[in-house]
Amino acid sequence: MAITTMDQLVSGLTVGFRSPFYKAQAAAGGLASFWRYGGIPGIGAIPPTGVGEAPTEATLGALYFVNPTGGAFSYLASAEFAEASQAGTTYLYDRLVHTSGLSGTVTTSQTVNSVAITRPDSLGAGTDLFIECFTSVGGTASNATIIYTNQSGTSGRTAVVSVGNMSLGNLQLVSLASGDTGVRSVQSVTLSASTGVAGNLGIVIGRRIAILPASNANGSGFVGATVQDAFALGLPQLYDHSCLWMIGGYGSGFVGPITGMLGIAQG
Amino acid sequence: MTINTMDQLVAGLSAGQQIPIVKYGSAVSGTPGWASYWIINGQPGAAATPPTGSGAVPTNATSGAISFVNPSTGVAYLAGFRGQTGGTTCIILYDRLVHTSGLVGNINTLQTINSASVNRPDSTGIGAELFIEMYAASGSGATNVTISYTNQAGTTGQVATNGSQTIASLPIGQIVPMQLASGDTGIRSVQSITLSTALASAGNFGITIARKIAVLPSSVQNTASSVDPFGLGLATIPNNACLFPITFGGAQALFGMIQVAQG
Repeated sequence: MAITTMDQLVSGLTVGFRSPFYKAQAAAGGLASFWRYGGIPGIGAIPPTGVGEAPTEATLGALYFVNPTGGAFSYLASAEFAEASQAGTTYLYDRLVHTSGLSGTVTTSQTVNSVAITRPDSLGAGTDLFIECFTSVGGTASNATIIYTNQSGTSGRTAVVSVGNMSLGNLQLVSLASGDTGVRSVQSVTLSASTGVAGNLGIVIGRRIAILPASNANGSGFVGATVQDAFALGLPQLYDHSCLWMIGGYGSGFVGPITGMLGIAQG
Repeated sequence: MTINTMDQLVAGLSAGQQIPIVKYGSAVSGTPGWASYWIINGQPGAAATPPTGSGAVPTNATSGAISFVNPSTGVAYLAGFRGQTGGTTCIILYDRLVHTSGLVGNINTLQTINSASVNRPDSTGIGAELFIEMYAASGSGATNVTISYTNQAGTTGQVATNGSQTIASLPIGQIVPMQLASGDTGIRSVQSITLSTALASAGNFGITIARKIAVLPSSVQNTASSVDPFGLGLATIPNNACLFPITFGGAQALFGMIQVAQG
C-alpha cells in the first residue's frame, strides 16, 4: 500500500502522527549533530564501539516515530521548523549505522567493520558518510583515511577527511571516491597524524530526508523559521524503524535552540 | 468521523471555525527568549494564574484559552494559521495540558508538586514538552533547576534540567523549555523541582506541560505569514484543547487567526 492520490494524502495526514522536537543547543562550527544534545528527544546514547549498530526509532536519541500497521507506508508530509542565533539550514536524516570508539591519537589502522545497513535495504545507495565527534580530540591537523564499501558492494574504496580539532557534536561530511553515490559499510579508519588527544570519534551512515532552511537575516538573537508541506518536501518515504536525526549547517556561529514539528502521513 | 478526502477537507473548512488571536505584548529576557502569552491581555483576555500545588488540567473553558469549540461530531484539525508579530520571531501554538503555580525562587530545597497528569489526547504524554513559567518575577541571581518527572512510558524519577537555557532574573511571562532525560520523548506528570541556588526573591512560578500543535514563522517584522492545511500537516486538535501561543525569539504584539476544520 502507498499514498498515490490526494485523497489518500489527506487521509494519511489524519491517521498519521506528529513528531515534535526541541534542542537547546549544538556545537559551533561547520556541521553540527544534535544527537548528543539535550531537549526533546533527550540526549542520545553514544553508539557502541567497534562494529557499532543500526539504530532504530527505539534507540535513545531518535525522534519520536511510530511504525505504521497493516502494510501502510510512512511519509514526511510536513515540517515546521524554527531556529535562533544564526542563519543556516537544518537537515533531517535517517541515521542508518553509527559507531564510536575511534581514537584521535592512534595512527595505525583502526578496524571498524561496521554493521550492515538495513533501511530500506542493505545497498546503501544515496547515503552520506560522516565522522561524528562524541568527545573532543586534539587540535593538531590530521586527515582520516576511511576504507569503505560502496553502494555497488565494491570494497576497498577510499575517502579522506580532516578530523583535527573536532569537538563534541562536530560532524565531518566525507567526500566519497570518484563515482560513488553511497556507502554500505566502513571497514577501517587511519589517521595521518595524532591530533594530540584521543577523544572519541565514530562513523555515521545516514540517509538525507529533508532540508529545512531557516533564513535569519537579522543575526544573533532573532529567529528564522520555515514551514514545508508534502509537495515542498517531495513526500519522502520514511522506512519502518527510521531513526530520525537532525543536523545543522550554520557556519561558524553558535547553533540553537531549535524547535519544530514533523508531520508524518501514513497510508 | 475523520477527514479522509479532499472533498471532506473542503467541507471541513467551511464547517469549521475561524478564531482570532490578539495579544498586546509579553515579557521576555535573554537571547533568545521564550515568551508565553498566557497571562497577557488581548483576545482571549489574560488568564488567571494556575492553581498551586498539583495544579490543574486546563481546557478550552479555562480563562485565557483561545476560544476553540469542540466539534459536535467528528474530529477537529488545525487547517490554517495566519499571523504576525512586531518582531523577528515565530509563533508556536500549544495545547496546554497541565499547569501549576506557587513555586518560589528563594529556596534551594526540594519543592513538591505531584502535578495532575495529562489527559489529552490520552494519558501517555507522548510528544509533550515541559516548561517552567513565570507568574511573578523571581528576582536577581542565576540558578539551575532539576525536575523529577514521569516520562511517556510511565517511568518515574526521570530528571529534567534547564541545560544551557539561562534561569536568571526571569520576568513575568518568561517560559523556559526543559531538557528531558536521555531518550525520553514526552512527559506525563511532574513530581518535584529543586533549584541549585536560591534567588533574591520568591516570585511565583509553575511548571507547564504542553503539546506543540504548530509553528508559524514571523520572520519579517509586522508582516503576516500564512500556513495552509498541508503545511500544518492537518494536525489534530483534541477535544477540550487549551490552545495558547508562545513566541520564540522575542516578545511582541501578536495578531493572528487560526482556522479549524471539522469533519
